[in-house]
Amino acid sequence: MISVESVVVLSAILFTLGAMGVLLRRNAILVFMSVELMLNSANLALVAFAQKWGAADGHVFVFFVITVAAAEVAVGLALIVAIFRLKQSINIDDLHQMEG
Amino acid sequence: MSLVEILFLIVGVLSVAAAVGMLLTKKAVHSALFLIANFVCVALIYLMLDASFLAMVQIAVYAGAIMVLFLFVIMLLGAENPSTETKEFKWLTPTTLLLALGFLGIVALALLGSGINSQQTQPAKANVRFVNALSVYSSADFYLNGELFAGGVTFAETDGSELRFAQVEPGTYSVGVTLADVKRTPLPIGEITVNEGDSVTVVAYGLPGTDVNPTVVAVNEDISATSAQIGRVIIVNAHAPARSIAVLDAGVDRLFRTPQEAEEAPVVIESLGVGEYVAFSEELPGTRNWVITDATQRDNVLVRLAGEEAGSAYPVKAGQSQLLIYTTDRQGDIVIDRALNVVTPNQYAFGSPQSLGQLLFIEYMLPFQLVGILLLTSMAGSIVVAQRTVSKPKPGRPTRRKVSRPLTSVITSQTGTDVMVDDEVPQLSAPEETAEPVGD
Repeated sequence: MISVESVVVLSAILFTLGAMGVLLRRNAILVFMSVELMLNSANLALVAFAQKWGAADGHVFVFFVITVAAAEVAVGLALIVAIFRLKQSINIDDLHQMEG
Repeated sequence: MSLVEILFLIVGVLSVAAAVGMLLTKKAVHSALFLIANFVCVALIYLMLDASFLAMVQIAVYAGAIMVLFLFVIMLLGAENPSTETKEFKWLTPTTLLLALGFLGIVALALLGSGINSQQTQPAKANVRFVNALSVYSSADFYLNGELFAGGVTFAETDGSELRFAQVEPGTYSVGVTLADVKRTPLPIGEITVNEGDSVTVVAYGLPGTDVNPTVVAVNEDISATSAQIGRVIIVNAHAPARSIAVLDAGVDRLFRTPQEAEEAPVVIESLGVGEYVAFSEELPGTRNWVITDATQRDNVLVRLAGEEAGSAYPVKAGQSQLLIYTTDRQGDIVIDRALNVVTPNQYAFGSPQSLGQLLFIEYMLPFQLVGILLLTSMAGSIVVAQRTVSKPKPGRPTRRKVSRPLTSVITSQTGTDVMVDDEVPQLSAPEETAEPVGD
C-alpha cells in the first residue's frame, strides 16, 4: 500500500518540472509537452486521492482530463503549424510581440 | 518497506529522471521520447493505485496517440534541430528555479500541516434491503429505528425497484413492519446489525398465531466480483410454521420413488433450521436438479427448485449472487410451500473498466456528452486553423479580361488584323467602366 503523501509529493515534483519547462524552453512544441506533463501530474494526484477515499469519481475526472488534453493537443499543434507557416519559426521569443 | 513501496520508489525516481531529461535535452525528439518514458512510469504508478483501466488509457492515449501527434509535428516542421536559444531574458532561469523551489516548499509545508495519512477514511456505508416473506402482509412497509426504510414491498416480490439495496450507516437497528399505507405504529419484529461494507438482505418471515412469530433473518451477501467459473448460492429457511429442511440432488426426473432412493440421493445441505441460512459457491455454473425436502423425512419433497419455466432445472449462473428463500404462502386455509429466488448482479471491483463505465454512463452521462461535443469542436477547430487559405479569383473584371484577351487574339488570328488597335476597344471596355463604381 503506497501512502497517498508520497504520491502527492511525486505529483508536485512532476508539476514543478512541467512548469519549469513552460518557463525555460523556447521551443513552442516543448512548451506544449511541458503542459502535458503538468496535466499528467494533476491526474496522478487525482488517482491517489481516489484510491485513498475509495471513490471512483476521481478516475472519471482523470478520464475527462485525458480527453480534454487530447483536444487541446489537436488544436494547439494545429496552431503551431499555422504559426510556423506564417513566420518560419516556432521559437516563442520570435512570437512574443503578437504581430501579424 | 513492502515490495509495492520499493517498486513505487524505483518507478517514481525513473519518472522524475525522465521529466528532468525532457527539460534538459536540446533536441525536441529526445524530449518527446523522455516524455513517453515519463508517461509509462505514471501508468505503472496507476497500476499500483488500483486504477488498471486508467493505466491502459494512459498508455494508449497519452503515450500512444498524443505523443505520436507531437513527434509527427516535430518531424513536419523540422523543429528537431536545436533551435538558436535566444537569451533575451537572462533573469528567467534563476527566477524559475527560485519559484520552483518555493512551490515545492509550500507543497511540503501543506502536506506536513494537513497530515493526509493520519486522516480517517470516510466510513464505508452498508447496504440493506428487505424481502417480504410474511404471507399475512400482501404489501408491507419496513421501518428501521422507527423510520420508514422500504415501502410497499409486496409478498414474494423477487424483482424490481423495491428490492434494490439502499445505503445506511453501520450499526444496530430495530426492524418494524406495518401493512403498506396503513399509518400505524410499526410492529417490532426483530433487530439487525450491519457492518460497514456489508450488503445485507433482511428476510421478514413468520406467521402470527403459530410457533414462529413474525421475525427477521439478516443475510449477509457477498456481491463482490468473482471469476466466471463461480456461481454463488445462499439458501435461507424462512418457513412458518417451523420446519427444518434438507436440500438434495434428486437427479434428472427430480422424483423419489421410494424412501430408499431419497436416502441415497446426494446431499447438498444436510439440515437447515428455521431462521438459518447457508452460503456456498458452486463451481462450473449450470443447472442443478435440487429439491427441498423435510430434514427428517427425506422422501417428502416440499419444493422442486425450477428456473424461469416451470419444471425446468434450477440454473446457477456466474456473475451474480442467488438468494433462495424457502417460505410459506398461506392464503386462507390453503398452504403452499414456495422458494423465492432473488438474484443480485455482482458489483465490480474498484478501478475496473466495468465500475468506471457504470459511473461514466449513469452518474456522469451529461459531462461525458459535453466532452464528446468538445472533442468534435476541437476537431473542427484544428481543421479550420491548419487549413491553408486559398485565394479565390475575384468574380467580375479580372475574369472578363482573361476571357477577352484570348478572344481578341482569336479574332486577330482569324481576320489578320489586330482588333486592339481599332477603335472597337473603348466600346468593349465601356460596359465594364459603368459597372466599376458599384465595386469601388
